[in-house]
Amino acid sequence: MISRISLIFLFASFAACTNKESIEVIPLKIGVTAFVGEVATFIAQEKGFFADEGLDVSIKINNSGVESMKQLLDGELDLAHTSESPFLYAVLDSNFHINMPDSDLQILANMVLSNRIQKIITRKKLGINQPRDLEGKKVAFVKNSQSDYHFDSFLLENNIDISKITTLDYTPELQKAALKNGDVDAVVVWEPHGTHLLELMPDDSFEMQTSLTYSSLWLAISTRSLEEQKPGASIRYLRSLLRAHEYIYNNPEQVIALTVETTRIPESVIRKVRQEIDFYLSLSERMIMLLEWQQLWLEKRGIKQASAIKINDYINYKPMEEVAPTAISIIR
Amino acid sequence: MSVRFRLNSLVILTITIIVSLYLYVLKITSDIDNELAEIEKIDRFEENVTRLNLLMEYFIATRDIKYTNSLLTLINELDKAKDDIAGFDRFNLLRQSIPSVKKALNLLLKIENNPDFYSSEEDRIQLQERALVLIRSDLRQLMSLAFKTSRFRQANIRNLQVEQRGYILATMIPFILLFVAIIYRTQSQILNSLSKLRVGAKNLAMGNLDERIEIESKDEFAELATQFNTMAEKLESTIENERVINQHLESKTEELKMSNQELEQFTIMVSNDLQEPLRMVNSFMKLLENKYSNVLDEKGLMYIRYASDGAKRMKQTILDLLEYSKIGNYEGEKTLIDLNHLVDEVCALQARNLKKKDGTVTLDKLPRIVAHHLPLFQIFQHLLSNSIHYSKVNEPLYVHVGYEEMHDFHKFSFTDNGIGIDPIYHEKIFVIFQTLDSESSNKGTGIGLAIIKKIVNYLEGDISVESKAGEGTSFVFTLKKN
Repeated sequence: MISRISLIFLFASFAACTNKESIEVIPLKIGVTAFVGEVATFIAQEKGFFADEGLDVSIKINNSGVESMKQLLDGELDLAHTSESPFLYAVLDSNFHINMPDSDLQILANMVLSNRIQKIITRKKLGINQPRDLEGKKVAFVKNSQSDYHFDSFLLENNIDISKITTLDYTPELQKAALKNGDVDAVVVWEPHGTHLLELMPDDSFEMQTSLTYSSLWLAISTRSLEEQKPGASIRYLRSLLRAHEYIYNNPEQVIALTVETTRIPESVIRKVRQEIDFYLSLSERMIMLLEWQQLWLEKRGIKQASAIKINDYINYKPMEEVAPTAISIIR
Repeated sequence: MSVRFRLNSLVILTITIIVSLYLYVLKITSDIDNELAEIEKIDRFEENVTRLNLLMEYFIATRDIKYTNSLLTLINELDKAKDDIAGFDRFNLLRQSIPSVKKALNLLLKIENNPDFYSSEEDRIQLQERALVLIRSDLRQLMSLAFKTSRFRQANIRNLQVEQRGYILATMIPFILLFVAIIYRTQSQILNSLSKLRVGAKNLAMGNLDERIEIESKDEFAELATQFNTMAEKLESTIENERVINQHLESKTEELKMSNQELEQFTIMVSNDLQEPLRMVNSFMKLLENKYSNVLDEKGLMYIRYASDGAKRMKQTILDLLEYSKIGNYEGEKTLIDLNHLVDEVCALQARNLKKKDGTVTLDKLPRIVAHHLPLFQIFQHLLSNSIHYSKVNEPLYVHVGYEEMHDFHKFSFTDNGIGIDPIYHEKIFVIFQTLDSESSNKGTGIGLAIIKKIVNYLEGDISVESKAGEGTSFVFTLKKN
C-alpha cells in the first residue's frame, strides 16, 4: 500500500516537472514609459512572473507612449504600452509613422484606472495661479499625447485661445529641467513627474486645478501578427500582469521601493502618486467611450474621419476571455 | 487506563467536537452574514449609481436644472457610502470618481448658467460633451467596480462555504477516526475482559478451582480479575480444608461405625452371655422352689423369690440396655407411618395391663409421618408403659395423646393422671438407670425415658416434662418434619 502511494507521488512529481519543462519560452519585447502606471510591468519582470509564464521579456524604457508606438509599428517591439492618443494616431494618421503598414494593431487590455494622471504645473513666482495667467506664456508638453488633450480641455474649459500661448514639445525630463531653469512657464505632464516638480520646486510651483479631471487609459497594444508568430504570448503576458496586480495590492511597500528604483523618483513622490492610481486589467465600456471621445478630438485636430473607425474592431478579446473574463464589460 | 477514564475521554471528545463545530459554524455564519451585509451595501451603492446615471441622462437630455439638487444629493450620498463599503478602499478610482463627477456636473451647470462665458458655441458644445464623457465613463466605471466588488464578496461567501466544508471534513474526519478508534479499542478491551471473566467464572462454577483470570490492563476489569482470583484462592483453600475435615470426619465416622458395630456385637454378645447364666439362675430357682418348697421354710421360699425377681430384673435391664444400644441403627427404608394406627398397636400390646388399671387411651388426630416404625413404636410403648406403671392406685387411668402441627416440627403430648413427678426430678428422669421408685417391687429399669430421649434426639426433636407430684404427668416431645 505504501509503495503504491510512493509510486503515484513520484509519478505526479515527474509529470509536474515534465510539464513545467515542456513550456516553450517565448521572447517578448515590450516598450514602456517611466510612468507610475508601468509598475506592474516592472514587478512582473522583477518577481519572475513573466519567466514563470515562459516569457523572456525585454523591457525598452521610452520617454513616452508615442515612442513605444513608433517602435511597435517599426517591428522593433512586440508590445507597446501607451495612452489613447498615440494608439489612435497610429491607427488614423498615415503620416504619423515612417513605416505604416495596414494597421493591424490590437488592444489587449487597459492596465490602469485613474482620474488624476495629468497635471498642469506653473511657476508660482511668475504669478501664474489662474488659468488666464497662462496667456502669453510658454507651456511645454508632449505633443499628440494625453497631456496635449488634457491641456486642450483645460483651455476649452477656461475659454482660452491656444494661439495666445507658446507650446513646446518636450519630454517629461526636459519639461522638468526647463521649468526649473525658467525656460518654460508651465508644463503639462503625467505623474509622477507632476508631483515630482511640486517637490523639486516647493516655493515656485503651483498646480493648476481643472474642472475636468482626466480619465486615463494605459493600453497594452500589439499587432495581430503577434499571435501568428508567437502563439499564446498574449495570454501569458496578461496572466503575468494579473499576478503583478495582485502582488501590488498585497505588497505595497515592496512596490513603492521598486517604483523608486525604476523611475528614480523620490519615495515621497511615489507614495503620493500611488494613491492616485489603480492597477486593474479591463476591457470596459469606459475605455470605449474615452477612445471614441479621443476620435472626435482627433477629428477636430484635422485627422479626417477619425470618428469613422470602430474601436471594437481593434480589440482582441480572446486573451482577456482566457485570463480574466469578468474584466470584460464591453457590450458586444 | 481505566474504563471510566476512557469513557470520560469519549464524553469529553464528543462534547469538544460538538462545541467546536457549533462555534465554528457560528463563526462562519457570522462571516457570511457580514459578507451578505457588505453585498447589500454594494447593491444599494450600485442602485444609486444607476439612479445617478439615469438622472444625469435626463439632465443631459432636458438641461433642466430641476434635476440639479437630486443629482448633487445622490453624489453626496455616494461619496459617503463609498467609505462604508469594505473592499472599495482597494480602488483609488472610487475615491476620485465621485468628486470628479461632481466637478464635471458643476462645469455643466456653469456652462448652462453662463452661456455668455463661452462665446464659441462649438467650444461650449465640445466642453459639455467632454464633461458628459467624463461623467458617463466614470459612472460606468463605478458600476463596474461595484459589480466586481460584489462578485468578490460572493466569491468570499463561496470560499467561506468551501473553507467550512473543508475545515469540518479536516477536523471531523480525524476526530471521528479518533472517536471510532477509542470506541473500538474500549469495546474490544471491555468485551475481551468480560469474556475472560465469564469463562473464568464458568470454569470455577464447574469445579475447576485452579482457574485464575489474567487481565493485563490496569482498569476496573483487572481489579475485578484480582478480586476473582483472590476469591478463587480462598474458595480452593476453604474447600481443601473442608475436604481434609471431611476426610477426618469420614475416618472418625468409620472408626465410630466400627466402634458401634463392635459395641453392638459386644452388647449382643454380652447380653447373650449375661442372659444365659440368668436363665440358669431363674430355672434353677424355679426348680428349687418346685422340688424343695415342702422342705424350705417361709424364709427360704422368700429368698428363692427374691433371687428369681433379681434375675428377672437383671434380664430386663440387659434387654433394655440392648435396646438402648441399638437406637439409631435401623435397618430398611423409612416408610409412611400412621401414628393413629401405631398408638393402637401399642395399646393392643398393653391391653392386659391397661385393663388391670381400668385404663383409657384417647388421642387427637395424629399425623402420618415418614420414619422407621421401631423408634416411633418404642416412644409410645415406653410412655404408655410408664403411665401404667406410675398410675394411681384404685383410680382409673386416663391417657391422652395430643398433637399440634408446628412449622418445622410435629409436637406431641402424652398426658396421664398418674402419680406425677416432683419438678426436682424433671432433669434426672431422662438419665439412664435413674428411677424414682426405689421401694416398689415393680420399679422399672430406669432406661425407658433415656431410650425415649435418645430416640427423640435421634429424630432431631426434643422432650420435656410437665408434672407435679400427685397431679399427673405430661410428656411433650417434638419430632422434626422431613
